[in-house]
Amino acid sequence: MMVAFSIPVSLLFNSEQEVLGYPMLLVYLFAVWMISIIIALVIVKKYE
Amino acid sequence: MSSFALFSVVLLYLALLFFVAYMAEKKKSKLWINNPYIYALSLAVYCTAWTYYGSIGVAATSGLNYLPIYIGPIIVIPSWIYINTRIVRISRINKISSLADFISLRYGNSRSLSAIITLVCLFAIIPYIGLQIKAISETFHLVTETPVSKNILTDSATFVVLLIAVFSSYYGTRYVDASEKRLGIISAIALESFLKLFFIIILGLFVIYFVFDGFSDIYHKASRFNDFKAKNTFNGIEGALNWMVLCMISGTAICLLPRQFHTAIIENRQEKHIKTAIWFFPLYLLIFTLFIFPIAWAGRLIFNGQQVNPEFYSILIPQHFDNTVITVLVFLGGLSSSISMIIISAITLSIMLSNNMIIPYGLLGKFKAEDETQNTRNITRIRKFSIFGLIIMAFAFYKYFILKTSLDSVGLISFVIIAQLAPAYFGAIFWRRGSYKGVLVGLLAGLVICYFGLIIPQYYFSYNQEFKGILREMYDAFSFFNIPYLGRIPQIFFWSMLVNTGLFAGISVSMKGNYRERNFAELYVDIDKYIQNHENAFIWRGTAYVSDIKNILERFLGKKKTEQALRIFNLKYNIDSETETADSRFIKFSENLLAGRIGTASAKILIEGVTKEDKISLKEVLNILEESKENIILNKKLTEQSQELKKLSDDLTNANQSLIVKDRQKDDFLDSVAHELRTPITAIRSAGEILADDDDIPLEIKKEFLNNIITESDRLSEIINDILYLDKLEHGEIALHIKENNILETYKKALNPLLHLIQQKNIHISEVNLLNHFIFEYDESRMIQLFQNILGNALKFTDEQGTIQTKFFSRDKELIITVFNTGKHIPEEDLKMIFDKFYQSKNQNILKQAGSGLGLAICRKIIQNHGGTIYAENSGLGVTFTIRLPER
Amino acid sequence: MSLEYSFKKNGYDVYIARDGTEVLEFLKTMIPDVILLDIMMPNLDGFSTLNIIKQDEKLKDTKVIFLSAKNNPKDIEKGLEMGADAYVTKPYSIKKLMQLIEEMV
Repeated sequence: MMVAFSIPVSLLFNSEQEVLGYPMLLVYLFAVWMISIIIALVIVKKYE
Repeated sequence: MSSFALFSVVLLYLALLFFVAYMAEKKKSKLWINNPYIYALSLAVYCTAWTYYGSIGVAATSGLNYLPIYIGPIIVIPSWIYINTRIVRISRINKISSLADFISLRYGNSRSLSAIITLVCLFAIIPYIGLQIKAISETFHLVTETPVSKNILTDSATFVVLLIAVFSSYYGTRYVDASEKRLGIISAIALESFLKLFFIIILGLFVIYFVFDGFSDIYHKASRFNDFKAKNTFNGIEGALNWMVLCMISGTAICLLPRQFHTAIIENRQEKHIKTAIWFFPLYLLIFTLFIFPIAWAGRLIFNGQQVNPEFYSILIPQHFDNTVITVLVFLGGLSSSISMIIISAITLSIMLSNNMIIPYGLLGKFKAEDETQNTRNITRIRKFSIFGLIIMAFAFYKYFILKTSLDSVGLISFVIIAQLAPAYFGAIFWRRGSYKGVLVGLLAGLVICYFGLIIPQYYFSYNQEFKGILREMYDAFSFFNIPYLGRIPQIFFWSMLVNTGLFAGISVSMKGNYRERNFAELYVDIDKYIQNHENAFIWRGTAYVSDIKNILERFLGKKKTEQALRIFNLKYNIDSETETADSRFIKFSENLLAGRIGTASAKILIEGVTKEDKISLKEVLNILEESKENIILNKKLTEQSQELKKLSDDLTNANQSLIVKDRQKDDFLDSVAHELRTPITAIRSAGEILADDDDIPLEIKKEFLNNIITESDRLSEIINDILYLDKLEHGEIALHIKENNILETYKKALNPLLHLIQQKNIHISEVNLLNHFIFEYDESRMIQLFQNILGNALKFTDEQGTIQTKFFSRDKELIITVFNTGKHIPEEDLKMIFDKFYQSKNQNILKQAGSGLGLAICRKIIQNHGGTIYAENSGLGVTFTIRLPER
Repeated sequence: MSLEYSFKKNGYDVYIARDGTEVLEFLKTMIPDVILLDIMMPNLDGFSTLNIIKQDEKLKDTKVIFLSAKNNPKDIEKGLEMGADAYVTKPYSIKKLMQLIEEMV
């Protein structure tokens, strides 16, 4: 489950190319980052 | 700011670190030790001066490219919850003290492999340490606005470095054994991680809200730059590809960097701390990188047009605004990041150096002869010197080699070199067939590629020289392999990993490893299976004597600890302490103990020295391993089965007990039944006997006897009927016909047949009705029975001319009927028991009781079947029986 | 009742006690030849009564016969061990009981 985490994330990144003029890319990256942290937190809490 | 002032600040800061380390060591408070956040923060040693300064430089010059260094880790980190847990377990059991130990143990515990890995680490990390020193020195001079002194001795940065070396060598070598965690150092590192983040947040807020008017302000101003757009997007496929590879590079680095391995694995105290780390650490990185962006662009805006090194924007910006406080804080932040890297790296490298190079290749002979205290002191001394030596080496490197290179490229090259360990590392825990030869060849090949692809060009480029002669031809020849789009570093990473992994896989598959490797392969890959008794999984055959091995152990652990360990071992495997020969379990056990002190390679050599091992073929070993695996599974099944059996037998015992009790109760019941029946039978028989034998009985007496017979027969019949009836009631064979009935009418019905007897005794009977409704739900016939039994009972015990009074009322949704009769009190202890079958009180004054003795028991059963209760209590001049029937 | 009648018919003096304590009351004022003792009695049961009787010197010639519905071998054994002269279970034959007593006395 945890390893699967990394593959979709990196694939997602890959699809994001020069599409947006604005550093929406930046915003997007950070957003995904933030979400992955939250997901990790949730999963860890569930395990306990 | 003056040099002196800044130097004092540095001193104060270092004093703070010393203090924290000291307190942590002294107190060893549970709160500290078990705190997962200390662990998670210590992982942030990943963020060095490179992060603090270098990333800002990269962000300012090439935009998004500063991110992959952090994105790589956060992609990899979630897998840690599985992978790192296993690695931690393996390391704990085998007393691994460094990265080199971990890898070389797996591939047969080879001394040469551990030495090579140590060299790789040294090669990769010493320049990196040099980088930190460079950062400290340059920022120091920036803040104090002094030029970098050419003379080492007058350069204040030198002293800072020396102080750091002293700190590390003192606190880093307090514990010789790998299983003892360096709480002091880790606490200091955790503090530094916190501080460096804290200071960059301060700087960030300063830049965003004081220098500019908020985030969007910076954003709008910066977007006016020509290259703003370009910098913030991928540069086509080329850019994205490079980006991806950079992520992969940093992803491997976060696992393999010696300092990361050390903090994440070796200094890990509890496996569950990893759970906290996998969200805490990415969060930390997120906050850090979030502030880098605005700071970088702010720098561009402020220093637009000036020739300023963007790497140091973080110092230059507050300095530009004459804010000394923040400048110093930023400096301290950078100092923290550098120091933590230096300390941890120096410590782990010194352990590797001492365990894998110095001791095995020279000093084992000496150690064998000395005693424990001497040996421990020597080991500590070696490590202390190593730390010092390493830091000095790094310093030299900085001075003479990397003056002109950017923080960024040195860091990346370092990453790529350390990444060469990746196939061996990951293969160690996932692939059983990975062999020593494969690792060796793959590693060397990868390193060669790195050397030619990265080191040499770097060397040349930093001195602006061109390729000459043979080298030139070689490079031209290899340019065939040049993949378009990839920058130099990603390119080399790709090729070196490809060749490394390919050779590793290829050779491992084609050549069988030796049996020792295979043994450890099983231990590593299936750690969960062997975790309980890993000594059993170690296969070794030969002759060895406990006393010889004990001798060696004492030289490193001391007499007391050795005895203790032996005792534990003997207990665990139920071995007689007088045994003279040592078996494979003992060998493994002893190797483990030693490995904690001097590393696995040296431990093996020492033990080898006093034992004689027989050759075993790989095939045999594989067979044994298969067997033992099956045994473990079988054992587990057996344990499960035996537990099930135990539970079953417990259940059976319980059932048996209750059956015995019931049986006894039944016997008792039968006894009392028989007894009850015999009494009337006796009377009948006696009467009958007399009537039969005696011819001249007076008529009245004859009549008396005959009536007696009739009465007793009736009584007998009643008893038998009651017994059967009660039995049926108890077994639920009598169905309850619950209907709505008028309670008062039912009562009257019950009372009627008894009126005659009541009048005979001159008893006064009355009813009191306090109900507002009379309809209730119950089985009428049963209720009549109940009333008759109670009334009959009352009748028996009421004296002549006494009173019986029945009251009906309702309370708390219950119908309550009380029957009071004047007469003797029932003894307290009997109040409950009169409802038992055939109960005869010790204090009863009636010898012959009319009735069966079961009447009250039947009452109780009937009312119970209705869900109600019945009880008796002494009240005033007599006894009250209370019946409660819950209303549906 | 039947016992009383039969014994009286045969010339015995019969006294009836309702429970163990009444027995002891009687014994204060007389020494019977035979005591027919039930076991399951209120207040003081047969065994305890026998114990007390046995401790009385004056009653050493008195024969005690247990008369009980309890025909459990254990109880019989216990009764005899305690020193009863006989143990008769209910129901019994009056004739046989009388014979027994005549032999004893």
